[in-house]
Amino acid sequence: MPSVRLPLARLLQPKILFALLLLITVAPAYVMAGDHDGDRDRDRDHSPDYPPYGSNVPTAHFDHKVRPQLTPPAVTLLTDGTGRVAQSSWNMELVGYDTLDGRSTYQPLVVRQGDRYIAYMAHHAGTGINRLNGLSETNGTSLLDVTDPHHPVYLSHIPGFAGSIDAGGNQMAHVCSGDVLPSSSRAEAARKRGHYYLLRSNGNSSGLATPTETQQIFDVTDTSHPVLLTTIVSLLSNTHKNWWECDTGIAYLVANDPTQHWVHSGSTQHLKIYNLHDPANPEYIRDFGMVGQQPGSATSGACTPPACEGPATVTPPSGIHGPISAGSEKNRIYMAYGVGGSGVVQILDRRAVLNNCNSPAACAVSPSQADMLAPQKGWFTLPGLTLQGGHSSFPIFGEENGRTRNVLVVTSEEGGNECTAGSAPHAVWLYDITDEANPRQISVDASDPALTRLDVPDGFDGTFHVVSNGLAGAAYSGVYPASLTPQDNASNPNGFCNQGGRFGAHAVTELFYPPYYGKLAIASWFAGGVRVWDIRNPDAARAIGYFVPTPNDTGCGPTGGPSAGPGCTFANTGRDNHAVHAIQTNNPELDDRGYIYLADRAGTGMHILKLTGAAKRAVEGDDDDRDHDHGHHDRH
Amino acid sequence: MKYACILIALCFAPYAFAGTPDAPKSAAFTTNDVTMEMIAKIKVGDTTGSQIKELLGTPWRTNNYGDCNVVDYQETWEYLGHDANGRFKISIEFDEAGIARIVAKTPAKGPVVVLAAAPKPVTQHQH
Repeated sequence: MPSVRLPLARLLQPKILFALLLLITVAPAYVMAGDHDGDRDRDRDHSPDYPPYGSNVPTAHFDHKVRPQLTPPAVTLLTDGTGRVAQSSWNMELVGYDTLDGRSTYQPLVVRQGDRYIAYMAHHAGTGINRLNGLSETNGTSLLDVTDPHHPVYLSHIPGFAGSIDAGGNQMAHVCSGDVLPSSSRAEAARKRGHYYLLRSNGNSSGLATPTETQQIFDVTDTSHPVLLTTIVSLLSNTHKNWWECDTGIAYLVANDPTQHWVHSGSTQHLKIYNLHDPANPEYIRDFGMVGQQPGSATSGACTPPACEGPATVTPPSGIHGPISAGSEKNRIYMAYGVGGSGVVQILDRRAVLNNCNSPAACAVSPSQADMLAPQKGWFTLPGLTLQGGHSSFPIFGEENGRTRNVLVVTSEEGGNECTAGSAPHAVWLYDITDEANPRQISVDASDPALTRLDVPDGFDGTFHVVSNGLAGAAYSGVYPASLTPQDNASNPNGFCNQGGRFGAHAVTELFYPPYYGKLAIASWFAGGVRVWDIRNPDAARAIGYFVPTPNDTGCGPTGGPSAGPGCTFANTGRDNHAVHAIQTNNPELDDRGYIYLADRAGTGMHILKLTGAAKRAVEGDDDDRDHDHGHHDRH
Repeated sequence: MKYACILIALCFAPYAFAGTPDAPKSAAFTTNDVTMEMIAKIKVGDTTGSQIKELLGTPWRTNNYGDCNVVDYQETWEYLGHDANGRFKISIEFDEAGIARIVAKTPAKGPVVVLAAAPKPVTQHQH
């Protein structure tokens, strides 16, 4: 019987060796692509399917039950006689903590990445020591494994700009799985399979003649060794709160290219929309914003609809702070303009935004007034008009008694320190947007300075120390009086206004996590920590929880990480040059286990929380008719 | 041989994007303690950031809260030191011109203490 063995020497011939290796290295990629042909592969990916990861928006079930308004308990004060707030909580409990090497942090984002939960902590400008390498690095993005929320593990830090710190910061992060992003070919699907991609703003508002801000994509599949994949767009003058739809790849980048001559008041930024289905090869779609911001619009004087968004705000319209897309199924984008003043919220038809440029080359970068108005379904201004801004606008699609009822949670941003005289307490509002053309505020509280039940008094006694701004109608607002300052005046009441730094609303959670969706509104309040409201009856929202971290509760190690000694909170300075350590809870966010993550602007670190008591029971629907929590206070 | 070269190139192609022009940078850092004698040389309203770097070295940590507009300015540098009570922090806040405006000390335990302060500008951007 003849031998069937091939001679080894023949196998080692270069041509055959090359063919064999090519077969081994390339073929599996096509095999794995299988017959998905560009469709997402959620069998391999464990990320949720609600926005921003997917388009499956939960349905909230609102009711009209009358529940008791709860009185939040007063915070605990430190025992050192300084009048400083100690860690205080109500229906919330601290689960885990990390110093983040003392870096100022804007936004937490926690992504289910395979079998792990990875926290992407997006930092403000600054520098700090990376505990992993001992190097001083410009603030960028910290990655932590929070699979065990009790024991976060610091994985890596992606530094930001190496230039001056006022040009720096990487405040915003979004992460998509390559298995969820759509693909236009099998080769693209195979290339992205098993990968995760981080979209981040790079730099913020340098103010330089030749701007340096960019938008970047990193491959974060190896969370200990992220790799810069591409710069989507550079030479931007501003960046901020992006949004990325993972199931479509559409990214709404907050930015401005000054050479394109868009016009804005306040934050000079609008949207630059890209398709990032293939993160290595960004596809530009168009620029968009509020009508009146397109090139050639008026930059001063009175401006009324339809040329601008309304006579009550400013010309040109305020820049956008951040969009939230409800995805392809709901086909809506919610746009908050104005940050902390002259706020406007706009509701857009998503498909019209993406597809309504009839002559794309001109429309994309320099649209007409008609191009700008075509996708607009509605807009509204906020109570106090110029005194409140649009920071976040989070939609809740629901029903009540079998009829559609949609609600929008809107926040303003407090921008001044220590309740500046003449400024309004910045707050959160609920709007009924079932009729998009006629949004109306709900959960109104006529006794509140900002006319809303979703507000936090500056006084530890639960009262506001404000006066009227002297205006009537939509322009009415309560404002902090001059007599509340100087803060060191012994006649002033002890409260949140003399804790240092900012006190007021900032951001609301933005993930459509079903168990909390339509039940809770969770918002950051700077020196007031994080605040939670029960919104199951959206006409009668009620406070139901809070957590205020304490400054410097964990020592900040000289080479990163925790250690004994002074804590991580930066010294913040009040108007009277008194230096204080103030908690500055900046953004809250959820993961799909219901944990709540806090980022601190003053460098205090990351706090991981869970709901307890009445807040937990509200989520579980286990509290009606037996909720008698009129204020319970935990001390830690 | 040419096949081997092609093969090697193919294997390493996915990593070609790793080195990009705006790859972030890091700098070595040593935690040199500062002394109160060194801190006393800082004159609020006069000493610049570059002069402070000459005097104290690279800051242990820096911060700038501004996130919406460059005029929302609040840049702070921090240094570490030791005294009889343990480690302390020195915080130096700058005005928009880059001049030291406030110098404060945070001891190992207890509230922060202002060591020197220049008047704050009357107008402050709010948003």
